[in-house]
Amino acid sequence: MIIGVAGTAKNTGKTTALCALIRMACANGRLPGVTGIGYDGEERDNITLLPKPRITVLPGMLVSTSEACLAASTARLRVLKQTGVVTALGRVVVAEVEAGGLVVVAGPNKTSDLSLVTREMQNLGSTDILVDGSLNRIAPMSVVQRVVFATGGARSVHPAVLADETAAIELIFKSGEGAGDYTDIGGIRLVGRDIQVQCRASAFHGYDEIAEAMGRIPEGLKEIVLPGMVTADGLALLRDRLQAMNPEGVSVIFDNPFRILLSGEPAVVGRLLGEFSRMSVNVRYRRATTLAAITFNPYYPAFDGTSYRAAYLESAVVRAALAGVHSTPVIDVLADGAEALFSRCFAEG
Amino acid sequence: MKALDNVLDGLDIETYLVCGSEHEGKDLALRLGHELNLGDVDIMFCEFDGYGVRVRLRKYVHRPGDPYRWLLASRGEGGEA
Amino acid sequence: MTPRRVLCVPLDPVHDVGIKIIRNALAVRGYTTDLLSPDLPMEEVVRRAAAGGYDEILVSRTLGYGVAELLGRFVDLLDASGVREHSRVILGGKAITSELAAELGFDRGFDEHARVEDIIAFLEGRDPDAGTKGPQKKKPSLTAGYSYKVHDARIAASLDEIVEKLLRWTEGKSTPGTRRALLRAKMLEETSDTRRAGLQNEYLGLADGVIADAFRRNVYPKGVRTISPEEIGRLKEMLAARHSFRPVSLHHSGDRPLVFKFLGSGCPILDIVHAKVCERWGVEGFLIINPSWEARYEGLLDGVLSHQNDGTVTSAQNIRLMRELLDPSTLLTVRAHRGLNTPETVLLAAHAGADMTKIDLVYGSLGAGTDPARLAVDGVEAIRLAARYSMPYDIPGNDELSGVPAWKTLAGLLINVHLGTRLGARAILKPLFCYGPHIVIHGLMRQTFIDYNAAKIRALREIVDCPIWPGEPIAFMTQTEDRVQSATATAFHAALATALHVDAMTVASTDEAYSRGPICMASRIDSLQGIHEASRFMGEAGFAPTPAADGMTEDLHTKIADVLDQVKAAPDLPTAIATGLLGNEEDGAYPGTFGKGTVS
Repeated sequence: MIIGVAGTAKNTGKTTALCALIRMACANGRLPGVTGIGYDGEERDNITLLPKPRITVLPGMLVSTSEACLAASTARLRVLKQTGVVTALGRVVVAEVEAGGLVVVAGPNKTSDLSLVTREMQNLGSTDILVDGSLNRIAPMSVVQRVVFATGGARSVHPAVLADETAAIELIFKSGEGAGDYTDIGGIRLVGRDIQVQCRASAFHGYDEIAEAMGRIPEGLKEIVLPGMVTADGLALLRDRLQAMNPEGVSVIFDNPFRILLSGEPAVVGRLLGEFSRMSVNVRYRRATTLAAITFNPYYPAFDGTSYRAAYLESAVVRAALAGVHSTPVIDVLADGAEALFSRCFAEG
Repeated sequence: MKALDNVLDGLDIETYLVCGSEHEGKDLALRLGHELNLGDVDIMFCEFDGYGVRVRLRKYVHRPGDPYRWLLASRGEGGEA
Repeated sequence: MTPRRVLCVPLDPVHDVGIKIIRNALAVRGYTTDLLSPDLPMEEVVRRAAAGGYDEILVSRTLGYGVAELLGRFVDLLDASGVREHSRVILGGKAITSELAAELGFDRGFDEHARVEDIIAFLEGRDPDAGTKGPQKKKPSLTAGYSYKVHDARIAASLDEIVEKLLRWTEGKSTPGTRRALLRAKMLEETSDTRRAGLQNEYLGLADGVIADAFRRNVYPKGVRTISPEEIGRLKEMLAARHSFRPVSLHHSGDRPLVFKFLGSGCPILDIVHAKVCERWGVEGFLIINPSWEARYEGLLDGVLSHQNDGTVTSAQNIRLMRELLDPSTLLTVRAHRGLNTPETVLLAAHAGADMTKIDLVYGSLGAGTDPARLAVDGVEAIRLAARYSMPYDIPGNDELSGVPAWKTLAGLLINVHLGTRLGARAILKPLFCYGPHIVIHGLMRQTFIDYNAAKIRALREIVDCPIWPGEPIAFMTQTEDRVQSATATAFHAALATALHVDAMTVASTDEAYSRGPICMASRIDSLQGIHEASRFMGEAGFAPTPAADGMTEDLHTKIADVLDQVKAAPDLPTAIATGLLGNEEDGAYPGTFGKGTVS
């Protein structure tokens, strides 16, 4: 199982959730491998200069990080393999923890590299792998099977905004995988009753690209496959064009929910997807990911114009707002403990 | 270890103090050193211009031959990333 | 390599100057570059990046509130659009670090101090650190290419006679200083401990009690202590873990004048740390300045020693430690002419690996307190040692600071140069760039600081073909205790020295006029920043002295010749010095008394 911890913003508690998952997994006899898509675990936040938690690892675990981070870690690490992946902090290696301690994890930072490195870790014996997010970055997370989204005061201090956004995230992740074979189709594909139209190869689907594709709709449209990155205005255009015909039963296949989430503000994208459903359009993914849980961190760094200070949202108020709009559990790891989080992430099936 | 321990040698404070005479300016400068918890500071430069003094003050944190706290602290942090 | 395609993205509402500079540099190197305008929506940037098939995407953006999230999303969009499968994405801008670049998912980060060469080195897969370490420098020579020929026949004749008389006068004479130098040489070469102990006993018999106490009983002069091997170990560890980051050159064009600084905090550890930082800021050589009390004692201390007050103890171990830890290309000079240990200092400096020394028979007697007869004997022996060890020596004209007129000081310098040439050594002239008392009293710099300083250089160049190194330090007596004023004064004088194409210069910190405490690192950097800026400002242009400088040059040249005529007429150099021909009581110069009556 590959489990990702992604954040809606910096300081939303990704690392806290990750550390809790490591702790719980180890306590339950599963030694997870750990890597991260950016740089995390440093003592102080690069931008706000406030302290951040670091990642504690236990002997026997595998860690994948950049070479420059090895010396900065207090855990004793033995390098098992060079992965061939290079980041701004040097070559990414897979190392085994020989003596427990704190590690700094700056692993592969793009999708294909993360895919390669997690495979290496699996080959070296990690059945479970935890992938730490970085900042608000989510694109490489399409590699994971389950994801935890961390949100909180650092994303917005308005409970209603957080509720809207997490509801949209839940909606985006709700759709399952499509049934067809979509490997390497290149550009947008339109499947009709008798023929299929293959547009030019591009992994960027903006307004113009979608306009061009929708100008070539074949008779008896059954399926539209968009294998790349769809922009919000492209998505809106797709809705408009589908609305103009009778779209009932048409399937729209996107690559993965993270790419849709990237299209624009989650609340806006969620609303658009909702409209697809209302038109009875089936939204599916080439590769789906399960949203395991949403963690909530009341803490946020308040900026007064010159420096940051620690501030906190009213936990109960936010929790109530979030619980009202979606069914995914909302967990404040520090207040609630990590049992629920662990079981949502590691449960079989 | 305090940040002050990493001062290689001396710490200069440069500012403009509003005052009525050079004498008052110097007095204020010396008091400033105490208010900043630096103890006695040296007045390197003090020029009164009618409205206040342009001052340069110095506190020696490590003098030549002292045990340098930045040297004691440097041990064991050899592996810079 | 195949020319690469680069997309330059100013992901900033307004700023695109930096990325334009980089783009131009890349274009010159044959890269195909596209530059986007600074106001494009992020999705549009991603569309162009996806369509263009670029090898590299350079993004410039200044860090600020919310910018990290914006950049993180940008990298995500590139990833989701498949761009990162064939393009590297590089981030540059104020406050961007490698760590931040890694956190945001970029392949590399460069901050605002990064040089275009650093970025190109990264793009071309060369050692990304190569740019920060700089090329291995070669040790420069200050005296190479000079003939030491005296162009002015009248002056040449005088100098010949003065030097011959001096050598005849010193012939057969010795002092405790010359005898100790002989013993030191033997001690340094002796392999048997017993025989060395015997030589040391003999040496201490010629030394003051203070020195003998240190050797025999480990009792040191006040404020002096030995530095422990542990302290040295820590210093070495600290320096081994660090290196000069993006070293600065103080020369905007060419490689002269070399920039020298004094070291002499009293503690070699502090001196070395100061020197390492100064090396990074462009300093190319150091002069070790010893404590003033050393001048009064016969004999030199031994060991790695720290001194709490001004001046670092001259010991072979102290010099060797500095030499070991400075950059191999950095020049190191040890002052020898003050006091009673001149020949011995040259010997120790040579053995400890110093590059140059400092000997001035005239100033050492008139401004630094040594008896003229004693220094004549010691000085001649010291110059012989300098010749034997091929160590150039500089001759500081600091007598001017007491009030001695420049022409008398310069005449003294010329005598020292000629003596060196006669003995096979290579000297360096050190006229002052100063606002000395004689200059102030006679209003010689009322119009400008440029003319009289330029006249000194021109007059010396008319007389002899010899390297010139203004000191000591330049801008002496123009600096105040105000930091900016002091840095500015130094910077202007440095620019003048550069414009006059001299070989080297000694520069001060902004603590120069402050005498109540040791020099601080920040003050050294401040004046070096000033020099750097002045060098950049002036570039290959120069200063134009007014026509008055021509008259001053002629006047100096004539008066130097006159002084040398008078010295030639004296029975010998010590007598000439003692009778005030090179500076008298009215000028503020008094013949020294240390070591009086010790010549035999």
